[in-house]
Amino acid sequence: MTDMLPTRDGFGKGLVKAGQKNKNVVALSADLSESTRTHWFQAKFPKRFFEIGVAEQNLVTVAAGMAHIGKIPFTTSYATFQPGRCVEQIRTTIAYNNQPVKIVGCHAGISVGPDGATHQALEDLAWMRTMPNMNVFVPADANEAEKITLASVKLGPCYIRLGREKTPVFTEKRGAFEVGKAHVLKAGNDVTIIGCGPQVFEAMQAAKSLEKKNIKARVINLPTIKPIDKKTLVKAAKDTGVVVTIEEHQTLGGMGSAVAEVLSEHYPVPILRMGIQDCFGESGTPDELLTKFGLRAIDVEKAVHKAIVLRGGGSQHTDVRDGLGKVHQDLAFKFSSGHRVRSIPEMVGALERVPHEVFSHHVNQEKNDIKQWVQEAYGDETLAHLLTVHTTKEEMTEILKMRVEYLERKAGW
Amino acid sequence: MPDLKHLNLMANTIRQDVVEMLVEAGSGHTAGPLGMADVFTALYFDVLNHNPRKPMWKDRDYVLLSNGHICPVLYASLARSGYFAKRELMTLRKLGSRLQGHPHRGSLPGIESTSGPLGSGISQAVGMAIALKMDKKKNRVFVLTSDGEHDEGNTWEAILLAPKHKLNNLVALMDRNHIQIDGKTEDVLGLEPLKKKYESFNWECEVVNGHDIKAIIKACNKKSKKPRMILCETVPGKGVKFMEKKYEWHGKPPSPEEGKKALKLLEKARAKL
Repeated sequence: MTDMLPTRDGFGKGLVKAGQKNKNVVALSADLSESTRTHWFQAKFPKRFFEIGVAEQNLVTVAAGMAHIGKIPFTTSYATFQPGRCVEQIRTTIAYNNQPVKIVGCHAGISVGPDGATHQALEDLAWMRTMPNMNVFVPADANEAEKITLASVKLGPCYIRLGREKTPVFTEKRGAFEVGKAHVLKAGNDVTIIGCGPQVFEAMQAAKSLEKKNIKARVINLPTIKPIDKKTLVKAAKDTGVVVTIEEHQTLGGMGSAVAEVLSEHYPVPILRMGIQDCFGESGTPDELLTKFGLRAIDVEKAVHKAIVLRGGGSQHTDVRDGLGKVHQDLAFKFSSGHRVRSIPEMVGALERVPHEVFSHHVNQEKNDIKQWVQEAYGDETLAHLLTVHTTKEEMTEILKMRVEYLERKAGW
Repeated sequence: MPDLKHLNLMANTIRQDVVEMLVEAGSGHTAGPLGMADVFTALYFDVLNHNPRKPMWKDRDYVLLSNGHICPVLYASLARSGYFAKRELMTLRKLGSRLQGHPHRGSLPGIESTSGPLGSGISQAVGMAIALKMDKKKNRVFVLTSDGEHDEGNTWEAILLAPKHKLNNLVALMDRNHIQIDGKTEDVLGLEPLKKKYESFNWECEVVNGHDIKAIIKACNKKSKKPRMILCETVPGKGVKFMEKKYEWHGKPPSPEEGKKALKLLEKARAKL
């Protein structure tokens, strides 16, 4: 049974340890000391704890002043308010000023739950990672949060993003955190899944399930969004040819964007970014929300299938243009209704029209004629494999459509 | 006893520096720096415990300029007190200069914090004063603020916090010149009664003539149990008649012609000192 703890607990413990190690460490709260777990530090070091009140602009600027005198301040609130409400103050007095303030944004992500969209920070990584001098971290679990907190003491300006909910604790408790290092948690060469925060665990679950379907996914935990580990990312792109990213953040400007920026410049491959798709959250239980917004292991699996289609057949499929062209009439697919199909685009059209009984005549427990045809007529093993995983009429149609889109794009290049 | 004649001459010199810098730069703020020349002279040439040859001296008093846009008067005061060479003043706002359009920590000796965006100077000063008290240090923190930036919520958040920590090592000086970009402060967003406001927030507050160097020095050195605000009543554009009290001069530099005229007026005033 995996332990369950919120990442904020890891931060709270790390902060106490940091306080024991370094007397200059101070903590500032904006009327949320318990929620942010800063009250543990307060209990231990009451004279080094500062209650600022509900005033986030003051929170970060007072901290900037304290840092100038030699303190190492950790400022804490919900991420929608800090950095949210005080982005300019952080930019000028912490980032540009280069003061070693650690901005801790709690309650980030959709999993904040019933409080609703106002309290679910989904844009904070975008705000923070565009600031020069700023280091940006998203711990995957409580252990990593504790380590990051300790490691941040020696750095300049930092942003640490934390979640509210209990999530699985699965990273190593021992050892120090390596700033700027991405961790390969699982080897694989078919696809790369990159996650940050508790979604890394979902990615691992998905990878285990995919393994059973003979898809070997490489899973990377990317806790340092900035400075980003280019080397590990580029190697993964080269080895696997396609990347899926998952995070509890807008896909615009978040970790997935950071990965896309690196790969598009150094080794372009298709990237599917999972996250919140340019909309606000809403009230609900964390479980319901993660499911609704598609951030579960099952969603990762689906994305991986799409990604493999996007990547193309790789070595098994030498001339992708073939897929769009018509095969010889001897190789045409013959539906039991008499209809003939001579290309993949034609197959998409046919599948949208054929009745279910005709479809299930060809694809059922005993056989899979469509998969067989793809294999024999086109030699497209990747596509054939996906058609053994996705076997409903709707799923097959979607997969084939995506293949056509991919082939068209490829042909257009 | 401070040599008042010497200090008044220095304030005049700083005003002339400001005019020359702004003409050379071709952009920047004029009224504020001229209005605050006496306050800066009082600070840098009498009040402050500082060592221009050792800007990071650990026992120094800290100075924060919250309304960063009046930095020409800060730069001139730093240069005239020996932080860097006077000739560098003419690089204001130029590419590669240490004299950025708004002050930047790390660029120039004597700049304790980056500023420009209004409203966050007092709170940084509060943070410094708290940290100094934690360390039982005697350094004082002086923060210069404008009346216009009292429109900012962040300013009032800081004013609320300072008395909680009994920051009697904190002295704020307001450039109460009654103007801001869009017009008179009381028309844009009424601030009065400022003294009563500060007092009701549990600060000690007094009003001084911002051009009376002796009075400024006395106010700065007063001992108290509370954080202190000195409302310096100043005339924007002070010393250059055609700029005085005209908010049009808030954010523009003199042309070379206007600069010559301004310097002539300042020379005339100097002769009378």
